[in-house]
Amino acid sequence: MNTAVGSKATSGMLLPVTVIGLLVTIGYALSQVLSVGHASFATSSDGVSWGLPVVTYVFLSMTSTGLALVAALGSVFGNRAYYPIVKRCTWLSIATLVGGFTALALELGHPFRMLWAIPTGMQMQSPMFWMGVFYLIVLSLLALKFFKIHSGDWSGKLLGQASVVAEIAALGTLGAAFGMMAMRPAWYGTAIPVSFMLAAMAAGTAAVGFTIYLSHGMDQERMPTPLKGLMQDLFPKIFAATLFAYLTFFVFHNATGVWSNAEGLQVFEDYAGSAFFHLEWIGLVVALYLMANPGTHRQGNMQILAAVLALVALFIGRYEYIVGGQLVPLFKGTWVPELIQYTPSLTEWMVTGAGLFLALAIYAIGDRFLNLGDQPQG
Amino acid sequence: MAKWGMVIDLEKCTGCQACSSACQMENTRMPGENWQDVLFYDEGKDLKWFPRPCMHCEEPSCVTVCPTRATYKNDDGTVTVDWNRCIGCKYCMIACPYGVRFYMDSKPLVEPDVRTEFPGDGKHTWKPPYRQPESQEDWTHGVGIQPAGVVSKCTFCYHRISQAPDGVADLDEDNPATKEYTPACVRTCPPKARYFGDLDNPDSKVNQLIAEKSGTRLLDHLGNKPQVYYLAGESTSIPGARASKRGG
Ligand code: SF4
Ligand code: SF4
Repeated sequence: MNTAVGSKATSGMLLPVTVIGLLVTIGYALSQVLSVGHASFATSSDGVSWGLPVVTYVFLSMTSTGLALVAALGSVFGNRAYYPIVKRCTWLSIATLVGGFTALALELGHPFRMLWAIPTGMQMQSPMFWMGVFYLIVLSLLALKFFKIHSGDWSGKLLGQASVVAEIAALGTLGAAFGMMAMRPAWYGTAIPVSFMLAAMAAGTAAVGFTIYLSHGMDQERMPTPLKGLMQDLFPKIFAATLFAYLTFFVFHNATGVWSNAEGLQVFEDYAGSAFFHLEWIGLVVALYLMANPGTHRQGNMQILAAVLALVALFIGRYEYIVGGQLVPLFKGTWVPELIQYTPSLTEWMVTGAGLFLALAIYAIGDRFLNLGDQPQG
Repeated sequence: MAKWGMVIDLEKCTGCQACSSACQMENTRMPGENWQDVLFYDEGKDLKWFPRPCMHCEEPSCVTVCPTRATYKNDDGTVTVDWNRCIGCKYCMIACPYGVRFYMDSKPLVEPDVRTEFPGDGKHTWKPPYRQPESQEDWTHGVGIQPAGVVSKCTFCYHRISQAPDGVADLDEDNPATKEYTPACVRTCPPKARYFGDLDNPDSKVNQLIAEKSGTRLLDHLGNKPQVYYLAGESTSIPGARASKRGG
């Protein structure tokens, strides 16, 4: 079965636009990385080690997990109302994960060496080791699942269940890679992996919402009836619920950080005064309002706005957590500033662009050639 | 096998940075890439100083986070980086509480960038006019001029101490039998504020000093259990959480 009229027109533009965006960003980033090396990044040995490219990787992999979990609501828990977006979510989940890995590869000193050094090292104490293992499993299961759905086989509950477990393990480990770092007080916390999960659900819902509109000329009327029904009913409900859950974490996380005098948490105060922080909380609150308010939550434009606001706010949130957690200098002398200054370089922005454009280009390919609107027959 | 450790007597240290310079020359570090550094900080109305090598922790967080085992602990208790395995993920730099690690492939810490002034030969990142003998180079222990895209740190002068005769309790620059095996910073320190020896040997000078003069480890609450001990005595102190000024 195919998606509705009009979808071809938008996705027709989506593919060339994203491919051009990808070529420009990845071309620039690669040329810099290959000629100047990572000296073209703003990260450095006496400051921030993980900058914007790592933020991009985390944001995209988190979104990928969110998407897979949204797909699971239909495929694993058998909620038929979700069927219209299961295939799309699964493909988009693959696309965002590949985009994230690409941003990470552009950040690493030796991305290809990783392929043998991690399996032969078997450092099972490292969260990064497990992150690699789980994401590899996740990617394989997603690919398998998509292949099955694409060939018309919607069965396979076990496969779905296995991928839910793998997704949670992967994202939880990604959160733990930060949350376990007791020497970085602004990162540390046993509940951090859970907070990653909450952010992921909100990001996944926003991402599928936004791309559904992209594929249907930004217009609900062009959607097939079952999909439109989903967007009118379940979508805003689940979106509002995930935003609310994440906002609850957000409020208490930041309030605790600002309130505490503990060494290393000074960054919370600094951050709370920044323009990005205001953009972040306003974005989340407005998105929640739009999706909870009966007057707006069914309207296409409002759903698009809420999705964009949420995605921007969640990206800022990853930036704030990952970069912010490194801004209080480690054991250094008095001449080191109280908080390290970090502004991403053009090359780092291009790496971010490359990750995002690659994810969107892969999505556009799927949208064009793989009938992402498919549903089980009967 | 010895378990090497260091004792730094802060009452004797004059903050002269001879250790840092010796380390730079011995290990051919780039300017600013201070494997061994002396940190300066305010205390009361005074300027204080605090020498800081890698702590070669007993429970090194850099080792447990490294996904490839590029960073690992040797049998002699030292922690080194295998440049043939490192993928430049920098997780170790995130996880080391003491900020002693350096990523080769990033913005220069000091201008001009010596990597463009003295371009490398493809294998090494730069070709300095002076350098440690090539025969000493040992990438599996992070000794020498490193290739691109890897992390480096103090090795306790692994190329020296690993040659020391078995069973010696201390590596002391004043003892002709051990002088050549003593780490460069220890050997150079003019007021002899640094001691280096076997922490597993009850008769070593380092153990004696730790016991008699209350050897203290930096940021001990984090559980990394450094193998570098500081002696503060009555006239100096060990800075708290971090050596930067607070408040203001
Ligand atoms: S001081 Fe840092 S780099 Fe050195 S062993 Fe300890 S954790 Fe590792
Ligand atoms: S940068 Fe190298 S030494 Fe450090 S954690 Fe990564 S692979 Fe290990």
